[in-house]
Amino acid sequence: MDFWILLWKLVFIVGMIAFGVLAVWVTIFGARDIVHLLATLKGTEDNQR
Amino acid sequence: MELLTSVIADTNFSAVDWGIVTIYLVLSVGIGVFANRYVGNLSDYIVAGRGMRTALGVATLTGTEMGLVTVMYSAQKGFTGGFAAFHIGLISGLLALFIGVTGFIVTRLRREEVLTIPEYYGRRYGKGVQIFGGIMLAFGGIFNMGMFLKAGSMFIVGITGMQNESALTVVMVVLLGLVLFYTVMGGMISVILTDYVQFVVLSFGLFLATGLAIYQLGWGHIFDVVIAEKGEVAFNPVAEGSSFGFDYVLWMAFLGLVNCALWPTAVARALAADSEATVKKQFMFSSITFAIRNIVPYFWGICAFVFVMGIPALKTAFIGGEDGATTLDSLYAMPVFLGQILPVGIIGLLTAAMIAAFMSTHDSYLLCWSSVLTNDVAKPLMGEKLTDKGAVLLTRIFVIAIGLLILFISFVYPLKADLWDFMAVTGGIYFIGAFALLAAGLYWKPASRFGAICALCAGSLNVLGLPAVQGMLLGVIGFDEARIEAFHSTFSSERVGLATVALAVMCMVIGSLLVPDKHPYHGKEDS
Repeated sequence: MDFWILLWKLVFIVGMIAFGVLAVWVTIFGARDIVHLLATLKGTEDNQR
Repeated sequence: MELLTSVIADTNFSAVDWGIVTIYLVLSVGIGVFANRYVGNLSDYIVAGRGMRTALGVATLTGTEMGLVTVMYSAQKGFTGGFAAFHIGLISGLLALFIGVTGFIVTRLRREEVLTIPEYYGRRYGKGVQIFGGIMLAFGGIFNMGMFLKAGSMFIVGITGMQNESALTVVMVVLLGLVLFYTVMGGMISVILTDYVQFVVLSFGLFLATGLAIYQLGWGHIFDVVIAEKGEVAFNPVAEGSSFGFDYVLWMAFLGLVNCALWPTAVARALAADSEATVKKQFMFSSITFAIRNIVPYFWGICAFVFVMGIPALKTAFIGGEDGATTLDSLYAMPVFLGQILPVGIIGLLTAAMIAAFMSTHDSYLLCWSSVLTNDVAKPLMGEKLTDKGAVLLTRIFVIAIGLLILFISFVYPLKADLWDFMAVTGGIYFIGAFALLAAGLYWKPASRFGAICALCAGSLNVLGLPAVQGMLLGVIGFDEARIEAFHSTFSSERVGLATVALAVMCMVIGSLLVPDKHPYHGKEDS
């Protein structure tokens, strides 16, 4: 049982740290991507006109 | 009802928290109105003009796949199965990483530049398979979604401590109305924008609630209580007497694969990406969230178990007392726990985050199934008569119709199994056949139309894994409750699922070899 307890503790802690880093990255660069997406859609719309 | 009312009455939820939730809901509706101006055609509406880059892709994939229903069913699994349930999250994360590294199925689908999975069926196997596959997908998907609304509303009722008897119904109707509004307005563009906001709010709420749960209960105490109350079965998923077992783990491995590579809402993100490289990166990064979306709620469910065991009244309400009285649905355990440990303000933030999760899943699912019905059922049937504008309108009508249908299912379907197991079976109605069609279609040249139809039919047999369906069918032939119970323990959902997968693959291979296509399809260029 000790093996399983250690495994799940590790999975939980490593997972939380990795998710923390990912959340910061996505928050910063996701905002930049939204600007890009809206610009792309606006450009397509203008071309269609 | 009285038992529930007494259990949820001690929540810390206050007027301040209602204010936070209201601000968030107004913001979401505003985004829907704003996004509406960018919808020019069906491609904008369904795949946001294929202009999404990696970070936004990860946000939207996470926003969709980490729904409130995910949080609810995972917490229930953690409550009943303990840390052993972590295996589902771990397998899911590893398989998402595998998809990200190899691009298995998803990059080839992106290369085909289809809007939906059944559109690929149409290209590869013909129009008939597209329509049949589209109907199967929508049926399995909508049925699968049937419990989302109820589970989400149970969370809101549990955490806010609403005392009114009709609270659950009111919450279901209000939440559904809001989601329908902004999905109908802005399609995939509003889905992506709200998903981003929801990702930010959700991540923050997740860390805060987890940290506070550990602070309140104590890291070591959580493990001590679980060891004392449940023993090895709470940690080892293949231990003797475990509620999981080897066949369950195997079934979860298959589900982990299809959740990333085949589940239409996840694939929709791949199809909306700006390149194949983005698709791969999106899945690689999202492997973390594919694991965390289960593991954190499992942990909350485990914390709820530890909390409940420490308070006699709650222990009697959820686990049962000596008199054998009826217990509360274990789905309520996690929201009741959070409602009692989180302070004012934080609880409002977490509820906003969970409503965010609820909405981000609903909008994507509603859009996904309605897109399939428009693109893969109505369009092939109506041909040129269906204009681009007409298709957008029809998709919007389907969004509303599906919304009303899931509200109906929430009222009438009796949930007899753990919510996660219900979802695995109903999802399987679609994805087992889809696995055979996509894997063979993309990687095996002899795959034929006849084999595809056989595989789709075989996949639909997975509905027989539902305890309610087994009970209904066996009841007709005269089985009593005890014999039905015994039958289900032998033909459990995971065993029926694995058998159906094997049958669908066999049907695909044998059907294709027996009746090959006269003009095999060789990829997009060939069409």
